Amino acid sequence: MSTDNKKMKTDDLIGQLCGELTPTSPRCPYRRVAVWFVASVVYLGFVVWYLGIRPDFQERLHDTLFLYELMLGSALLMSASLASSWLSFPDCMQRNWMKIVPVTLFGSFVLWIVARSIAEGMTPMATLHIGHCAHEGILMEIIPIIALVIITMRGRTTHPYWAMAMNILAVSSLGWIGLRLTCSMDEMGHSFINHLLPFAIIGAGLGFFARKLFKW
Amino acid sequence: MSGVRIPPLRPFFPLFLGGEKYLSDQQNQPDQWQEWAAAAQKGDKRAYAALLGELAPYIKNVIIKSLSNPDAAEDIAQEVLISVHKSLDTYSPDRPFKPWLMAIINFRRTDYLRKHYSQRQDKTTTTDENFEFEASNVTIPNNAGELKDIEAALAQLPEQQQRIFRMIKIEGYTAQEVANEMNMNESAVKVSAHRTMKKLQGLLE
Repeated sequence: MSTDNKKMKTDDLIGQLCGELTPTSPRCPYRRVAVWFVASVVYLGFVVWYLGIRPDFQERLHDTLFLYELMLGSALLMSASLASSWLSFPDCMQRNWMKIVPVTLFGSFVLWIVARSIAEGMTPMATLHIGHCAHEGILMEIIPIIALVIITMRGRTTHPYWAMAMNILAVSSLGWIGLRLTCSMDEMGHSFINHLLPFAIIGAGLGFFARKLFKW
Repeated sequence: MSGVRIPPLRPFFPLFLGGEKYLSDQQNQPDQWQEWAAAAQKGDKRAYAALLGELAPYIKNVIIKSLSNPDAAEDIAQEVLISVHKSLDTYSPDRPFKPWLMAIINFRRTDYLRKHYSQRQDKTTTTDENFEFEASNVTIPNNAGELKDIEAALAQLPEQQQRIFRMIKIEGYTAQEVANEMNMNESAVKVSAHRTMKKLQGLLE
């Protein structure tokens, strides 16, 4: 009896779902994130312009290490945002490499920070600089992270924690690039504590809500 | 009956009795689903009904292998069907259908198991048709009898007391609901249930 009822319920459900069917076109995994990417870069450009670009920017463009950092940040931004987009699809595991690329880049990034910190020696930081970069970073990242979380929420992710991790990586690298353009301090200790750590902590906090945020 | 699950003989079946057709049907099934899903995205309700009709038993079979409760498997299967409906636009006919479906099935099954364990449903049990549990847990230790002793003791009480006791203690009605049903005062119902409990304790000691 119970099985019959269940069967009836499933048949009814199928009938109901068929009744609700409306034509839809397959969603492109990259369209939304491409829009986000362009909008975020424009927004970052606007914030950098508003805060003022660092005075020695022209000089720094001749510094290979500075360019390497910018390129690493850009590669991380692009790969993490692409992975985030792909993770909004249930069958994202078919392209597992999309997650591996940003994770590897992030690993190189952390190694880079550690190597440079050791090379520079952990010098005490000027009190003046504590906090102000974090505020600027939040200004650079707050709108892009909200937008990216909304994009993921409108998707159908089956890997909410990974999706949130990729969102955080994408936005953190965006902030990192922005702060390298506005902040004149190149010491890695400063960059790590003010340019990366606050966002890593905020990101980890957001990560706890990933499953609830991306519930569907 | 023993609970031992016999593994399916699919790998060997094509070797005998015209199994090539069986194998080719199995291989074609996801292609057919892929076509139906593509048609459903264009609004073809017949294709969609055919797709969901075939998916329902398939999903249930996949889920039931990892769950002991068939009712739960049915519920999860329905959840998966709703999820398939919600996320139909995330399926691209360029990609294989089955991995997309399996990802949704695994996601919903994990969701169910997480809820199941967080509500500690794995630590609860029902006494319905669970005679072994009843025998070891429900009867009082000093009483050599089974549930029938409680039933017998209850049968010795007046009809109205029995009815109130059953409704409150067994069927889970509130005192107010029983009072309304029996046209009585709520306090009188509570007193009656309490007295019945005391009497039963006396009879069973």
